[in-house]
Amino acid sequence: MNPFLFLRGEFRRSWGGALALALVLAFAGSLSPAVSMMERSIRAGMAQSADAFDLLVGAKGSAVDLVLGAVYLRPEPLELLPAGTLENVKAHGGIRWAAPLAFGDRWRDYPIAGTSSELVTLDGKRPLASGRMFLNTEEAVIGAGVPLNIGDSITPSHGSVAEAVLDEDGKDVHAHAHTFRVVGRMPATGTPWDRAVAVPIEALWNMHEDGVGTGRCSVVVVKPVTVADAYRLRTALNDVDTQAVFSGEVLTRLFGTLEQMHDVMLLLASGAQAAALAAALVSGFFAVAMRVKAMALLRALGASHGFLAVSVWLMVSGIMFAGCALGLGLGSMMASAASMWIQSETGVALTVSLSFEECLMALSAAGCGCVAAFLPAWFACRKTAGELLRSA
Amino acid sequence: MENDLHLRNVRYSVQDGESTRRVLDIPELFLPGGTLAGIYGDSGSGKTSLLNLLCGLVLPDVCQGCELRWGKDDLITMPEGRRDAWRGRHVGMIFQDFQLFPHLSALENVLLPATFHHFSIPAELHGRARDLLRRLGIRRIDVPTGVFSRGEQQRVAMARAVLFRPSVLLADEPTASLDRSNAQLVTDELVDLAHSEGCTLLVVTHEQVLHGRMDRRFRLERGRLLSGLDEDLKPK
Ligand SMILES: Nc1ncnc2c1ncn2[C@@H]1O[C@H](COP(=O)(O)OP(=O)(O)OP(=O)(O)O)[C@@H](O)[C@H]1O
Ligand SMILES: [Mg+2]
Repeated sequence: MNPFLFLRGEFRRSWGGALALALVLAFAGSLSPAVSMMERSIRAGMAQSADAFDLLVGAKGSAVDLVLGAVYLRPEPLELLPAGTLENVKAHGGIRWAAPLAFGDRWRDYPIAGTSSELVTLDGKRPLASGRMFLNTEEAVIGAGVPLNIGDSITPSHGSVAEAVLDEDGKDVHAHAHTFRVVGRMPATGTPWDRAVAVPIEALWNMHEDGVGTGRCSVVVVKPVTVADAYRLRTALNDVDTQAVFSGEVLTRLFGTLEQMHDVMLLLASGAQAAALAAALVSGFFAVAMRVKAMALLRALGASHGFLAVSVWLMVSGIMFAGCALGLGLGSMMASAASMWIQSETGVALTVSLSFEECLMALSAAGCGCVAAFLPAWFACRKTAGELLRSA
Repeated sequence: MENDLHLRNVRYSVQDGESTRRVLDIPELFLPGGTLAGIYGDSGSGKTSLLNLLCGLVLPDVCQGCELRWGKDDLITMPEGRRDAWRGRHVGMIFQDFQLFPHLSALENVLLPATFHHFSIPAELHGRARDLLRRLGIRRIDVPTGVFSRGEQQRVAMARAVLFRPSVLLADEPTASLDRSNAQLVTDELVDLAHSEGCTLLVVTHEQVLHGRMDRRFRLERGRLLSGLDEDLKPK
């Protein structure tokens, strides 16, 4: 038997309905792959951004704020460390390099980070893409995504990015008198640091003569020599005034929250998909009921019960399968769009990829649909010719 | 003979709400293979039910000594699946309102019954379908039949009915929804096909012209089969 000729006629007759049904299924089925792809790419992007920041030393307070401020350059208010913390940290030994970090200024909406050359080049491990390192307090090195050229001059403004206020002429009301000349550019890292302007920390101290923080910084980024050193340093640097945290550990905690959100959203998305599959199944029964006349005719022309059952099964499961496959594609597109938006907002490079996991989810939804499609098929073939003739 | 029709003690009842109603009651009928027979009777007298019974779409009431046979093929004892296959092979059905699939072309409509048995349709059946359509004067064989005139649609339905060279042709008021000239055309071709394919033809009709071409005439009266009277078919 070959039900495809019959199905071709039925499809020509009601392709609009079939398409609408497949699209509804696609929308409902796109949510869970999108959520799952987003979660994976955010996790990977955030973890990659934190790679250079093994151990962070900051003032006592929220560890999450410390990581968000130092790694992701979020405008979290960070307390200043006591003067001399950097020297104190270095004195512990077992340190490959340690660099201070201070924030609070910006150029347009690009954050200015006061630091030292060690953090900019990861102590020589990550050479500049072009130009050279800053040598004095009038020079700056920019991230790959800052729209400036080497040789340009910039005037920093006071206040974090969130506080930027422009006057009527479009000039920043918080502008400093100080200027920096761009002398070098970092390579693209796919992290929020691509949007940063790095200057010597001494320059920030000079700009704020009111004594806000001369000789002080908010964070000390530490690169320990060995894992044992790392744990020893963390214990030693957690004292009355300071806290030392592994950025990875804090991220794991953040990811825990992310995962819970992910689970909840996945549950909702699966519910939506199940509801859509159920709706498609009900439409299958309606489709059979609508075709009683056609089925009576097929039986009169010599078609077996099996022919009717296979036709109905193919019709319903074909729509379900197409819907789930379309949903997977739609989900990928949605995740790509969302990650592009997040990337432009945060600078965290996100790569969205379709993995076996999502394919398996879509496939199992389609599989459930195909199994469920046996119900209307059975419903169709259970009817005897007499019953069909009566209802036709 | 091979295609003779034997009916004995055939009764057919249907559930009518609470009660059962006897629709057909035929103690005895013998029809030699190749006979052309016309059937007429009032609406509700059981004409369509008789055709459904003869092609095995429905079965007579269970009873001792009842018989419904085409040659050696006993429809009552045949399992349902076999009966479907038998109907597909041996019976051609033609309906008053054609019952084509309007979104399939003429050729596809004719070949549709072949898809019940074959995955890919043999070239020989393809050729036969084209020949039949040509012989019945259908030129636009690749156009959906929804746009065809009623006469054309009935001729496509006739080509579909005889695709497998059936031994039995059952037609339920084949000319009732056609105008005079199309009715004449379909009448001629139906009789021609029955003769050239050598099949038994049973036609339910009230057309005198069509009855005039039949070998035998029957009248159904509240489920009982009587021989037809000539004066019933005279124009009033
Ligand atoms: N499956 C069924 N269920 C209930 N009643 C039925 C069924 N099949 C036939 N009947 C009844 O049996 C009687 C005969 O029906 P049938 O269709 O055979 O009549 P007919 O002679 O073909 O009528 P018409 O000329 O109007 O087509 C009718 O009263 C009809 O309502
Ligand atoms: Mg009838």
